Amino acid sequence: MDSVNSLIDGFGTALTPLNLLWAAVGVLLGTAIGVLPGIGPAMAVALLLPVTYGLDPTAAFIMFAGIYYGGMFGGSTTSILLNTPGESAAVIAAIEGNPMAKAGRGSQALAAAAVGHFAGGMIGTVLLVLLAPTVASLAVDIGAPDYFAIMVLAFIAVTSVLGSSRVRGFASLLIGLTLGLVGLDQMTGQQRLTFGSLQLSDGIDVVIVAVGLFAIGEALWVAAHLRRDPGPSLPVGRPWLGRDELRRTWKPWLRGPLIGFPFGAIPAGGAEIPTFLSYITEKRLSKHRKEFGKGAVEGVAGPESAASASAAGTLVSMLTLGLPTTAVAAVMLAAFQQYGIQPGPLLFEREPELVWGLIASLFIGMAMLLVLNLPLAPVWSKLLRVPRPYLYAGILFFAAVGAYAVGGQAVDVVILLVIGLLGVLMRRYGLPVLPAIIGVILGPNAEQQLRRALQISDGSVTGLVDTPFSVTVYAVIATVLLWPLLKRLLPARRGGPAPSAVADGERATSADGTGGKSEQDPAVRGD
Amino acid sequence: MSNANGTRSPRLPRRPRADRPGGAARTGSGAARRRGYSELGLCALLLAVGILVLSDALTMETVASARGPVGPRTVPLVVGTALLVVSVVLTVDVLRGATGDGTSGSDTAGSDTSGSDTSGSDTSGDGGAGPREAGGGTTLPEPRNAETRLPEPRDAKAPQEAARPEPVSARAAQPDAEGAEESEAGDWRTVALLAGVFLAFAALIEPLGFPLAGALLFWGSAFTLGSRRHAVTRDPLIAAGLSLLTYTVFHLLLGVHLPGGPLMGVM
Repeated sequence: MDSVNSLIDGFGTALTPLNLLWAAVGVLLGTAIGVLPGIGPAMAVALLLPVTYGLDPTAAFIMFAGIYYGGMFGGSTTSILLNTPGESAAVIAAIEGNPMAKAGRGSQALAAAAVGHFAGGMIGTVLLVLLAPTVASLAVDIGAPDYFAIMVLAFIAVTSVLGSSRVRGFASLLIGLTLGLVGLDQMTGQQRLTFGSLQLSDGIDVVIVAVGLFAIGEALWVAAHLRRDPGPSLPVGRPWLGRDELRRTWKPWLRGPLIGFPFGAIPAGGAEIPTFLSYITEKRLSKHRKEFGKGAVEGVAGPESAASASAAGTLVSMLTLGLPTTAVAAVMLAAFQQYGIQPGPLLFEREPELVWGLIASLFIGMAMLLVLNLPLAPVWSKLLRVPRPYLYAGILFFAAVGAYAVGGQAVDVVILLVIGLLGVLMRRYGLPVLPAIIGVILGPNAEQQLRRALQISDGSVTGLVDTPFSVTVYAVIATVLLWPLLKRLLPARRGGPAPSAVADGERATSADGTGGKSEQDPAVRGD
Repeated sequence: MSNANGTRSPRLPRRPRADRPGGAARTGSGAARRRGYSELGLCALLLAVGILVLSDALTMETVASARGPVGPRTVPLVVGTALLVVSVVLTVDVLRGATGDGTSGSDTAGSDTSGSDTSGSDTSGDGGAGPREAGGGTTLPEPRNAETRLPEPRDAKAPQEAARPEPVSARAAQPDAEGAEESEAGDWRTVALLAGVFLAFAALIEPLGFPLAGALLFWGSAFTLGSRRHAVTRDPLIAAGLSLLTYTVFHLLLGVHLPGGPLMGVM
């Protein structure tokens, strides 16, 4: 009940006219950017981060929540109307939504996606409200060794689960860790990798790394390959759903979050496994199975709802443990750090107004999304016709603005470019970008926790494993690392139908998702 | 690793180009081999970074204020060593022929799954991949299990896997088939030009002010990216409008300072 009261206070914060205005601006901006082809939510959020610099933290995060949900909805719009998913989680929306749009049912597809985001986000955020304070209060007691273990888990999970090969994942992570080393050592003030440069001794701002790797890297990389005009975008009217569609979609909307939320909450969950799972589930349960692949509305509703709920799930580990598990969460963490706020168990005690304001504004952002975006959908679809040179020139433009706004120094723009070129190289050679971002953000933190833990134990390595919690985490890490081996040892299990029930199945799937994905990644990366 | 030392220049963007001229006129297998070489450049880069980190850590003066058993050196040493190890493992990987799975020229390469930046599909946005994926999707999992969810995510990705090569092959099939190499050289030229425009922005923002420098950045990038038809008519207007609007919004509404430059001084 405590959290309900806090949430009401949060609404009190978020519902002031000014903050409502910021939420509306955020949703509109987020949708506008997110709808641009090739821009996923993380890139939208990274590009729009500087917009929030002048605001106080609460207003900034309220706007941020709007940007986030707007960006997600914008991404589905692009997938449905143009068949170019801006992120892997939106692939399913393209598979089912685009045929719908081609068949003249684009309005219904957009409405199913929007309401799906709304439903998934609502249920996910309610679960967040219920779960987060509990997790936070449990996490208050965990110490430096536990933190270090969790961060190592994040490193390992993000490198092993994502990307084409583990080696490349690790290479990316190490590049990130190296970038994170630049600057003054937090404990001793020693200069590391600064090469005597005053500029570098402050370290490289995380925002610059994020914008560089995501926005500049992606823009340069895609721009370099720009050869064709995009396909024509499909015309669309005002989104609406008929009674028949409603009958078909309400269950997928409700089922999606159940699949999406748990996957979001575990490290390295991400949204694409739950969207695929939701798609499969809906397909199996649907009475219109034959329509799947040709534009089944369930195939839009369920996965979009799952994606949205998984995003809410991500916030659980981000807010309570300070662990970003997706690119968007990583950028959000960077935003928190920008304001000198460290997410973690104490966040709920120290900054209740901000946290609950943020959570309340998640609800408001979703409501705004429905209210503003559904009527505006025809306008957004016009954005799809932006000529590609303008689009990528615009991305470079706003990225440059963002980098300059961080510190008001032209050198930052140069650093941004260098990191952007690094991002191009990483894309060229198939190094996933996310591990690098996680490395930059969590690296310095992990080092501090490691050193603190070893100080407590006076240098003995056993100090890292002297709590049950950390031992458990290391066991999980070992499982993730050894999974390919284990899988080979247990071939029998795969052949026949595994006897796992749904409850058990969830764990099994997540484990399988973790290990199994390394081999199917070309697919993951192909979206 | 043999050519590692040769290509250890820290100028990242150049590397792939530097490797390129080697065998421009070769055919398929030659191209594949050269791709392998350029992958080795990546190994070299990792090696170089590793050596850099290690040498920086080792030449660090130890300060008396270092408390605890783990000083400022430890983590750089670990990271540097790990970079060397990864570089070696990747080299072995590449030499065994495990090159750039999934990276090859595909626009979507290197994206993380969790969302974010996977966009590149832009260039293949002619709708080609979509129906394909969808087609695969329909044949999905029926015959399989009814109970377990285990294999499903895999199945679910199968259609994509099938669809994946599409953009690549689409590209390869394009008439500019002098080979991917030539076009790739062109790609890198675009990147280099864009980088130049970007650097010019960094140099000009203080003296010229944001509105002018920003407009130049937008116009220059658009021009580099092939916007020629309106290069002297519509483009400068859009660039100026965008730049002024951004300046105004940031300056007046959001309270983020951007240098106005002489132009704003006049107004």
